[in-house]
Parts: sequence; structure tokens; C-alpha cells
Amino acid sequence: MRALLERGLAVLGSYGLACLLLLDLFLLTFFGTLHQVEAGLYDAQKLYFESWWVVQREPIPLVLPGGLLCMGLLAVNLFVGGFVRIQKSKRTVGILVVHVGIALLLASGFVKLYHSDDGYLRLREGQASDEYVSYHLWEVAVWDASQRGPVTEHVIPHEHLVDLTDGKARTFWKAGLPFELELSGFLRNCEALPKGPMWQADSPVVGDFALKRLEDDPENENNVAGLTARFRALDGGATKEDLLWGFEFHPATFDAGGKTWAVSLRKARYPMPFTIRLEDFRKEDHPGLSMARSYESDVTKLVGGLERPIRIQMNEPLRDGGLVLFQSSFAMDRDGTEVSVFSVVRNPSDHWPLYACIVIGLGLVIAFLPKLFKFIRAQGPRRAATGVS
Amino acid sequence: MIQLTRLGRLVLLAALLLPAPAAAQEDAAPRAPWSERVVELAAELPIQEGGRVKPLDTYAQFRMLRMNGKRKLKLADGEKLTPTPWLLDCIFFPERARGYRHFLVRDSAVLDAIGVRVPERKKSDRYSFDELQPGLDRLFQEAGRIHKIEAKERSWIEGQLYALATNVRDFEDLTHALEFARVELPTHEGPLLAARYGAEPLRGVTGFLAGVPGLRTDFAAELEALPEEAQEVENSALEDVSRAFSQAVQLSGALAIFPPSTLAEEEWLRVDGAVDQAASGEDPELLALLAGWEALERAKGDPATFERELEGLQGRAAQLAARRGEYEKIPLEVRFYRGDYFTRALVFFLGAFVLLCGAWLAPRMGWIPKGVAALSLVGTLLIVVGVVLRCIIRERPPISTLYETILFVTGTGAIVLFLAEWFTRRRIALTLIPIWGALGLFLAMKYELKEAGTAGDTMPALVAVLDTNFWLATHVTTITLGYSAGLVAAFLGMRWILSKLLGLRRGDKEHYRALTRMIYGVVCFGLFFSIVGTILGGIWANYSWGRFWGWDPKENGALLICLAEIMILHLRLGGFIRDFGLAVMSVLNGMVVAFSWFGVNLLGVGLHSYGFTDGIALALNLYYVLSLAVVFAAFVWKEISRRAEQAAGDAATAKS
Repeated sequence: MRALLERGLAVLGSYGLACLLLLDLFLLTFFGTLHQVEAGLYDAQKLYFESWWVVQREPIPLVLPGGLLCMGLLAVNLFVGGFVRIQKSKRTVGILVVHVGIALLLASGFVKLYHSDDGYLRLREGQASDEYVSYHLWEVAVWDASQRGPVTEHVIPHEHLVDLTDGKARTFWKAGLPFELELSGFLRNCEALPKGPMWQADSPVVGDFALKRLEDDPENENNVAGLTARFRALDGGATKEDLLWGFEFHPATFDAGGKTWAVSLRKARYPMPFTIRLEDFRKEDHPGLSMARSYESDVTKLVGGLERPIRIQMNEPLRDGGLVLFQSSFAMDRDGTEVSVFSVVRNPSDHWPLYACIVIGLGLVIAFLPKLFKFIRAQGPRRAATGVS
Repeated sequence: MIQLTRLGRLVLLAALLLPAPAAAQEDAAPRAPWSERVVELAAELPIQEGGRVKPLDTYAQFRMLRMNGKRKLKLADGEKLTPTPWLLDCIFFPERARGYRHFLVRDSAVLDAIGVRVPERKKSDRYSFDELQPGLDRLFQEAGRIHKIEAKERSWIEGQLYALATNVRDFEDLTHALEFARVELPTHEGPLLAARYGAEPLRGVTGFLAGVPGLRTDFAAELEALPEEAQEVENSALEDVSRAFSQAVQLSGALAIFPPSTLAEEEWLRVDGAVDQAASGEDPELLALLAGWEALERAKGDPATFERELEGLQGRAAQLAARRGEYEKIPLEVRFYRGDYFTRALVFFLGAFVLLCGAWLAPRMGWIPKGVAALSLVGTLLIVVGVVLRCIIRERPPISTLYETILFVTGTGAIVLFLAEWFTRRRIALTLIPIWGALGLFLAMKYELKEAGTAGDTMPALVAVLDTNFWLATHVTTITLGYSAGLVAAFLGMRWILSKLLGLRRGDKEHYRALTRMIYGVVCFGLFFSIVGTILGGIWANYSWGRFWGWDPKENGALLICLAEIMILHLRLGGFIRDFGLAVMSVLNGMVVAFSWFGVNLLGVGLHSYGFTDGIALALNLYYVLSLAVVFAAFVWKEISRRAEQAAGDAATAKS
């Protein structure tokens, strides 16, 4: 048993496995890069780097361990081979340090994948907001529309929506809601149009409107999702069918329990621990060109009655409350008001790559410099031995 | 004044393919060659283009390169023109310049497409404006059509047609640059105007502009006092003057050579803007500059007066630019391009290569390797000086564009090879330096030509995210050092394989061991910079785009290099590869570096859109094919060697 365990450890920590995993990661990275040309970054990321297995037929048939499996095994290989089984001596100190840095890098990737979220905050000059919006994830929000002032929302998250395809439906209910909501027919990219004879609807026709499936946009944030919603009052009374579309101007409504309830499909929203108000946005072009040289936003951070003026500009983000706000882009509203767009990221491992970089750099110096000196010292005798001047 | 779009200007010029103004007909006559002093003064005239103030010489260099494909033009009478004299001819002697064969047409099918036939010309040849003139209507029609097609969707001929139309338009712009100085305003047609401006037509706009304040205060009253019929004549004359004035000013918009009046304004003025400000009477300096150009136009037939006038104009323009802090680097930039460091470096590397060939033919001549080393050293130093001067001019670290990565990779690669040679003294790395340097500089020249066509300069304005010297100095420099080392290792790997294939130093095991050690050392060197550079890039991305890693093609390219090099080290540590495997893997790693450096940019997706390029695909594919051929040959050699050893072993066994 012990021999078997040792044999297993030897394989797990072997150079051979390391080389195979590195080759796998190499191929994943290469094909994932090519895949972006046609399918976009989001799809490539899901298919190659955030998957357990990659099975594809084109452009060449391929079956490979996906990014998750590969990097998981690489972490095990690193631990067993790079920490446990490695010969510990003065010679290998540098390599050990490099392995610590790589482990830190892998850990930061893991934390980023499972414990972070990102989105954007789009503000017109003078506008304020305390939440940011996801680039990719959708949610269905349900709230009491007959109530004035702040409302409590019931939110159905993205992962409960995206699998509602091929006839699959899911019914939602929460204590306090006088109706059930059945969702089905999730379309990743669609358009709500008046139903005419010239096209086949991809949803039930509701009030002369239906959803038309569109080809997926490689830039996933441009896709607009759609769903079919069926309301059933719990008292056995009214039922209603409606369409939910990501670009709708007004939510679907349903009267039940003496109240009007609103239901909306929208990009997922995340609260911020403070409010940001855009005071002024400035864009400066290179003289004589329409190419931006710099753009920056003067914002005010409002929290607990306190106001703090802050400038956010390219390469100089705002880091606060576990969030990072970056100047991402800009636009002009139809009325000529300037709009500033910030990327917002919540990532607990924000600075870990920097630490990893320092550790790996240090490790490589410790590992390679003595070898270089040894090599240089050895050249004199070698030259003498071989008669090279 | 109306700012026209590129297409708008193209269409306007198509419509305005006017017969040359009468005053310009004399320009076709021979002119005295420009004196050295005139060329020197004109070269240092400041002009704003591509988001920065640069010498007129730089502007001329890249216009000529784009149009003509090289920086020299030999005229039919044997005179050789360099960029600044060529530009002066285009501006001051347009009729003469219309006869210059400076439009490079790379495929004669372009001429067929616009119905131009010039007998006895090669497939790729140069043509003059006069030769192209019969097809210009068609050319601009085609350009209007092609403009609507996305650049990457255009066919080769469409791309060439569009480039030719752009060059013809730019040339036309240049020939009309002094229209404001040549125009004859019919001020003599109205009595009141004649009383102010004389009985002859007024040549140039500045004389008229100088009188504008007076016109503003008194002219309306004087006109009122005239009888009705005379008023009509005067008004009609005024309209004619106004029309001629506007048309001349509008046509003269080629060059942004007038510094704005206030420091707050950054955009330099073209003739229209300068005229607007001068007409307000608030900026006498602009009026003086306009008058200076007019004086030059008048003096162009008299070299001595021209030189004197140019001296005055250059001094005034330099003073105004210096006041804005925009002149300091101009003389240095002129000297930088005059120095032509990279072409000279190429000459030295080619010289070293010729000597190297001599060494192969006469291996016992001991001075030859020293000569190769000396010439290669001078070539490398010239690259270093050129790169340093570019840093000073741009006030940037050595790399901020893809063009600069080529120079940097060539320079640092040569230095790495020199260091390897210095440590080993085996003349292994030394033999590669001339080839490395020459190939790198050929690539740089090719890319410079591409930059002339797209960015208009090799020192273009940077997008906002790149406007950070800290990250350019750290991430970009380290990652490019990684590219450099990876490619040097690939060169050494090729050297190992080719030496084996050719049977060089057969039996000299120490020679091959030294080469292997060099490959291994350079791969380690490259891995260090690739890993640190890649992670630094991630940290920069984290600061700029909000994420450390986004699987962007350029990021993936850098990761591929790191993975390939880590794989090489682990394969060697695990005993899976030895000398042969290391050489082969280093050649394959070179392909990965090339893919990361240029290949991913050709994919046309990702956030690194400021580095996209086309036209480099051929060189890249050639490199891939060459590398694969070397690897294939290596395996063939390995198999042949194995069989030979086996046969020898069998023979020995049979004998015993």
C-alpha cells in the first residue's frame, strides 16, 4: 500500500506529468486564442479555460483536459513535485521560491474565478449610483410595483435562468408572494418584435409580440437575453403569460393579492458600500487627431453623509471598500450630456499577482544567477583546455 | 472654415482637378538646385502632424516614403532628390513635381483598373502625376467605392487603388499648399478696392488681410456714398475677391505650420485657421508668418533672396514654437534622421556578413573574425545610439510601438550574442550577429514602410492607456527582452542543427556542448524576462482594465512563451530531451515567440488594438516555414545518423 502511495506520489509530482500538463495548457491557450476570432472571448473562456474537458471537432478534432482540470492537476503536481518531493538544498532554494510564487499565482486565479465579480457603472454628469451592473450575467427581479418609495426585490439569479432551454421550465415562489412564476424558453440573444407572417417566433406570441432568436454576438455583453414568464395566482384565480426581454423599457406586471407585481429581466446588479456621483468628465484628444490622449472623471464618493471628491483616470483607479473603479470608456447621450463608464471589480486577490511577481522574480534570480556565474567561471578553464583564445 | 473628412477632401479634389493656375505654368521650367543652407533651414521648420510637432524634414521623409517607397528620387535629368528638396519642389514648383515619377504602383493591374496605359513599364513601377492624370477621375470613383469597404475586407488591388488615391490626393494637397500665396485677387475691379490695393490684381492673401481692419471701419460708409451703379460694380468686385480668396485658402490646407496664438490651444493652424486669426487683427505674428510664405513663393526664382526670406521665416516659426515649448527637439530629430543610424547599422552588419563569408572561404585568416566583430560592434552601437536618440526625442522609454520592438529586439539580441561570445570566445555567437542584425534591420525597414502608410510616422501619438512611462519602461521592456532572448535561442538552435546537418566541426564535442550551454542559458534568460514581463503586464492590466488576466490574445501569446520555455526546462530536467531536443525545442520556441510578437496581432481581436498590423504576415509565415523546415531537417538528420550508427554497430559486430 505504502509502495503504491509512493508510486502515486511519484507520478503526481513527476517531471513527465508537469510536461504533459504544461503542454495541455499550451494547447488550450493556443486554441482558445484562435477560437476568439470567430466566437469571441466569453465563449473561448468558458470552453477552454473555465471547463473540465474540451471536446471539439473543429478546426481540428481535439479532446483535452480543460483549464480547470489542467490547472487543478498542475497545482497538485506543483505541490507534490515542487514542494514535497523536490530535493531541498542550497541549489534548489531559488526553484522552491519560484514554485511558491507560481502557487500564489494559481491561488489568486482560483480566488478570482470563484469569489469575485465585475461589471460597469455608467453615469451621466450629475447622476449618482450605489450599484454596478454585470457585463454578462442576467437576473429576474420581482417587486411590489404598487408600493411607493424603496421596495424589496426578490431576485432570481443567472444560474437559475440560463439552463431553461429546450422546453425546460422552472417555477419560482418565495414566502410573501401571492403568485408563482414559471420561467422557460431562455434565449441568449433575441429581439422582441411585433409578430408578423414573415418570421418564425421563438416564444409564445403575447399581445402581438414575440421573441426572435438572433445569432450570438461574439462580444457576449452585446447579447440581449429573453424569457417566457407564466404567472399563476396562488388563490387559484388569474393566470397570465408574458415575455421578458433584456432591453424592455417597462417590466411585465401581474395583479395578485390586491397588489400589482412587476417582473423584469435585467443585467445582474451588485450593491456598492458607497454612492458615486459623476461631477465632470473630461476627454482630451491628441492635437489635430480624434484619438483620445487622456480621459478622466471627477466624482464624489458619498458615504454616511460624508462627501469626498476623487479623480478617476486612465491607469489611476479608485480602490475603496474592496472595490476597484477604473475609468473604462465614455459616451455622449442624445442630449449631449457626457457619460462616463467605469469598470467595477470586486476581487479579494487583487494584489496577489503583484506579490507573486516579486516572489517569482526573486526566485528566478536566486536560481539562475549562481548558474550564470558558474558558467562564466567555467569558461576560462574550458577555453584553456580546448585551446580557444 | 469647414473641416473636410478624408473622403470629402478626396471627392473635392476629384472635382477640383483643375488645370494648373496660370501663374504656376512657369514652374515646369528648370530650377536651380536647392542650396544646402535652404535644405537645412526648411528641414527645421516646425509642423504639427500626427498629434505632435515635428520637423518639416520628418514630414517630408514619411510622405516621400509612403508615396515613393523609398527616401530618394532620381529625376530624369539625373538630379537626386532627398525628402526635403522633394517636398520643396512639390510646394514651390508643382508643375515640375507633376512630372516626377514618385507614385509607386506595386501592381500594374491598378493602372488597368483606372484605364491608364504607360508603355514599357514593369509590373511594379513608379509613375508621375501627369502619367496618371487620364485615369484620376476613375481612380477617385474607385476610391469612393473602396472607402466603404472595411480595410481587412479589401482585395490586394483595392488596397493598392485606395493607397494610390490617397497618395495622389496628398500630393495634390501639397501642390496647392501655397495657393494662398499664388492667388491673384481681382481687387482692381472695384474702384474703392483699387484705391486701397492698387490698379493691379493683388497677389497673395496677406496684402488683402493687412487692409481688413481698415475695410471694416470705413468701407461700408465709403460704399454707401457711391452711386447705386458704382455700388453694384464694387459689390461684384468684392464678391469676386471673396470667392477667389476663399477658394485659395481652402485649397491651401495641406500643412499645419502656424502655431496657435494662445498656449491653451494645442492644435496648430492650417492656412484657413491662420487667415481667420490674422483677419481679426489680433495676431500680427501669424500675419507675418503668412507673409513669410508669400515672400518665399515670390522669391523662388531667385536663390539668394529665397534663402534670406527662408532664414527669416524659419527664425520666426522656430521662435513661436519655442515659446510654446515645442521646438526643443526639432533640431535633434532632424539630426536623428540625417544620421540614418539604422540604415548605416544595416550596412555594417552586411559588411560583417560578407567578411564572415570570407572566413568560411579562408578560415586561416585570423584578422577576419576580428573584422566581423568590429563591424558587428559598430552596427550594434549604431542601433543603441539610434534607440537612445528616439527615447530623448519622444521622452519615452525605448519601446512604445511595434516598430520600436523590432529595433529593441535587434539591438538587445545582438548584445546578448556579444555577451555569449564574450563569455565563451568560441566564435559561435559571433557568426550569428551579422545575420541577426541584418535580418532585424531589414524587418524594421519593411515595417517602417508600413508605418509610413498607416501611422504616417514611426513616432505616432499613443492611445490613452499607453500614456504611462512607468509601465512602458517595466512591462513592455521586460517582455520584449523575453522576445529577444527567445529568438536568439532559436537562432542558436538553428545554428546547432545546421552545423550538424552540414557536418561542421564533426567530432568536436566541446563545440556542440558550448552551443548547447548557450542555448540553455539564453532560454533561462528569456524565461526570466518573459515571466516577469507577463506578470507585470497582468498587473498593468489590473490597474487599467480591472483584471489581472483576461485571456486576451496578446496576453495569451506571452503566456505561450512562458509555458514553452518552462516546458523546455522541465523536459531537460526530467531527462526527456538532451542536446538535440534542446536545439529543436528552442527553434519551435522561436515560432511561439514570433506568434506572440506579431502573429496574435494579425488575428484582429482583443484589447491590444493599438498594436494591430497587416502586411507583416508574409515575413511571419516565411519565418514559420523556415523554422519548420529546420526542425524537419533535424529529424531527418537524426534518423540518418541513427541508421548510420546502427549500421556501423552491426558491421562491428559482424567483424568481431
